[in-house]
Amino acid sequence: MQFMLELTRLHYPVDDITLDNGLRVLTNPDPMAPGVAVNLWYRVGSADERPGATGFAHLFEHLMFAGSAHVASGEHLATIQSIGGSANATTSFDRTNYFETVGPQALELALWLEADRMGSLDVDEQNLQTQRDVVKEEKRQRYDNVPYGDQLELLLRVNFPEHHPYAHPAIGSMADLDAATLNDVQTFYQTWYRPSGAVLTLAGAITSAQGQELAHRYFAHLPDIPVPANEEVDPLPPHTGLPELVVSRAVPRPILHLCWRTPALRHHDRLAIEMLFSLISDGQSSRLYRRLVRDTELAEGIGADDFGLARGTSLGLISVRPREGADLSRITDEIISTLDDIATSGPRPEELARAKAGFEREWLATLAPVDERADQLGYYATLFDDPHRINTELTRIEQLDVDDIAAAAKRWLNPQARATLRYEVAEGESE
Amino acid sequence: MNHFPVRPVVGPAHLWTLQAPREIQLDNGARLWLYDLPGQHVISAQVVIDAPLSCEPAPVEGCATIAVQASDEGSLPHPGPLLAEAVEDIGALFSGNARQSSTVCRMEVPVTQLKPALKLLAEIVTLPTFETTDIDRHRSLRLAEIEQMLARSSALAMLGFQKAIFDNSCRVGRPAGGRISTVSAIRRDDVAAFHDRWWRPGGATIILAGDLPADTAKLAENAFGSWAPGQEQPRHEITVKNPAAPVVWVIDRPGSVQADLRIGAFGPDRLHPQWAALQVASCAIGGSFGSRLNRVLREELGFTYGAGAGFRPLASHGSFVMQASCRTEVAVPAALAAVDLLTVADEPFTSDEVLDAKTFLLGIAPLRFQTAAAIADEASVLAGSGLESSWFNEQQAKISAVSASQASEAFIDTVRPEKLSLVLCGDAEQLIADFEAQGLSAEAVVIEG
Repeated sequence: MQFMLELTRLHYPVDDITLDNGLRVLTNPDPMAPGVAVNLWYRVGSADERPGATGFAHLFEHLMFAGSAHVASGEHLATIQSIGGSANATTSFDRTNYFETVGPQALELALWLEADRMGSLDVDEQNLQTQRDVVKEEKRQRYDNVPYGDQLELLLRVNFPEHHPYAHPAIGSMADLDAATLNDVQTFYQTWYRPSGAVLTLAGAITSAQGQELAHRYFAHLPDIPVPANEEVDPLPPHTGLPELVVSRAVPRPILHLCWRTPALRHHDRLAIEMLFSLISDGQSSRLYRRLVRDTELAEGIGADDFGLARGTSLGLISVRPREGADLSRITDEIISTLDDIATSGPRPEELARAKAGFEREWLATLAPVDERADQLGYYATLFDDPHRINTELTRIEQLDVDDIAAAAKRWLNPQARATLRYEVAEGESE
Repeated sequence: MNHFPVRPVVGPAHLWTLQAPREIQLDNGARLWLYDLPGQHVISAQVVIDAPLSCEPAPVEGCATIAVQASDEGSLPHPGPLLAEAVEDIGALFSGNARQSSTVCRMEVPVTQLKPALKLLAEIVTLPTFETTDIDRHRSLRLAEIEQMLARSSALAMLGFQKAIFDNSCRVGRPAGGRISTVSAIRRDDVAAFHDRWWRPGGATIILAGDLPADTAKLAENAFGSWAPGQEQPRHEITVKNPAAPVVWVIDRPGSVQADLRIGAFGPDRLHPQWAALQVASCAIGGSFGSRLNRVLREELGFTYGAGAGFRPLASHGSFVMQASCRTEVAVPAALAAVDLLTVADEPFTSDEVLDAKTFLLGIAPLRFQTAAAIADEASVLAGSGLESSWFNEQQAKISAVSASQASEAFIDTVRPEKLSLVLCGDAEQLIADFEAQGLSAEAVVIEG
């Protein structure tokens, strides 16, 4: 089949070494690339925060731009842009990443800047306060001031018990951020931001030998200080008793989320669940789109996805934006009968083939730019301890058959093991 | 511990140019732009159709949007859901949108499936069936989108800004996707008639970017060769400035914890003689992290998660707009600080600022255009604006020659502080009182869908 043609062509070379101080360095040479991506994954995220200190990993990500021994506050980003590159950082549940993409002539500067802030942090009371204000504005802009802005927080609350590492979003609590001191900042930095807690990936116009040599030159002098293991968490049992959270908000339409506790990222069934979600929700010919949006016209839109969480338990959900006045129980019934049907009979072979073909296109598009490819390498090295998975993931997808999908549906998406989050339109807000 | 390595010096960037496409004129009036990009396994195919929104009949504005949204709901060879199945069977993704200047239909597909993908894209463009049930559903979905848009602060602020800057009599002065009243009036025959009249090869550009097989031109000619020319030329409207500007408007959105700011004015298009200098200036004022607006409003004052500004060119004229979201209590001080920062005559750009902006604009280009999709998107904007494919490289050359005084002068001439309109969306009572406290009078306005 055509799908296989790409597999034989696609192979990204990956050079994988570890410096004496514990820094893992990956190089993906791509002579045709116009620049080089520099990408650092630190294995610390919001799931490593303690109760009373939520939002800290993300606040800290901002502070990593607020100065180090040889770099002034704001200088890192401004410098990278002024030499014609781009830079940013993001914080998630299981990791924090920092990245630059630059022309080959500025690669060493990018490495020097990253090494400076891996070696030292120079934050004072004033820029701590400024970045706290900036983070509060980020929370208002992205969550508090937008319709359905508390969805993530509520989804986590429905699916994880209080104080579970995944019970709160990375943006955290503003009261906790207010309580953060400079001392907390330095402690967090010294605990997690060490060479042995990081993966450095270089992808683009560079050879493996150059990558290794430059990593040594800029990072080898940093001391090897152990980083604590990320706390392991036991898998949570499936939901029982059909828990449901209903909130009333000033929004134009209701929203319905059906949620399941799914296996953690490294579980064997992860890709089957991903394919299952894809074949019910991606594209106009997917089952639930066809059924809910096109045929019954009960929904304006649908989606299904898994959070891809690494520790113990992940979260999978099917989300529906109902049409005005649509009966939500009918929508739930349609979803349940679809899942039952797949668990009993499996998807039709052509449905699975279609989902695989769509996955292939997305995969190839994701890996096309060096910045996203570097990020994927950091992801597989950090969370799977196997960066070479970028060359084998498509094969794993290809090997899935309809029985694997049926088994995954049966095991993980039992309708009786769902939890529900529902937004209602607050009185007086409806048109 | 060894000592820290010395800070490396950055050498000059090598000059980079966007690859010129192979251009082929088809007999029916469409032209092909072929960008062969070895190593790009996903092909981006775009058909840019010369169907400006000014061609929409006024009572059914939004029909161009519905036409493109419903175009893949069934074709004569693949009726109903068979079309989406055929597209998705080969791993392709169709999308499209109706811009002010043109409608664009896009297909992303792995290179191994280019031939069937081009055939399906041509079917979508030339032979859609537009069943009544599909159009009725898309009308409802579009009305729901408008409702969701009116619930979002950023969208309300932008709609208010559009209303403040452009004259309501021209199409650019009205929402691109139509209003509730016009979308509600759209019927199947309006969409079919718009498609039949304006989705024609005259003035169209078919862009293919990726690791193109040797026979790509032939495949495209075969797929689109039978696309029949239309009878008339579309009318491209000249954009008209709102004669009433400048304004200070506040759009009330009860319960807001931030205000969305839009500050700006009617502006030039890409054919402005100082366009390169204006690009450099707008980068220095609000186009990067280290730009004046972001440095002051975010990094010094902590008023916002990010502040930016830039020119937004249309095919004819355009706008300049500064934007930020700030907590309510600092929104008016932030707006006034932004106006001060936009008053470049008080503090012209330094040569360092201009050098940084130029290096950024020239250096980021090869990184931005790493993928087939990014190159096809840029080509699509150029084609839709009536520009040649060589325009981008010519512009980069001009940017490299801009001096600090040219950047300052161009900006000072174009963005005049006394001509700036301020549009804020948020807690109107508080914002209007804050303006009053500064001796300014702000008008409460209502944005209708």
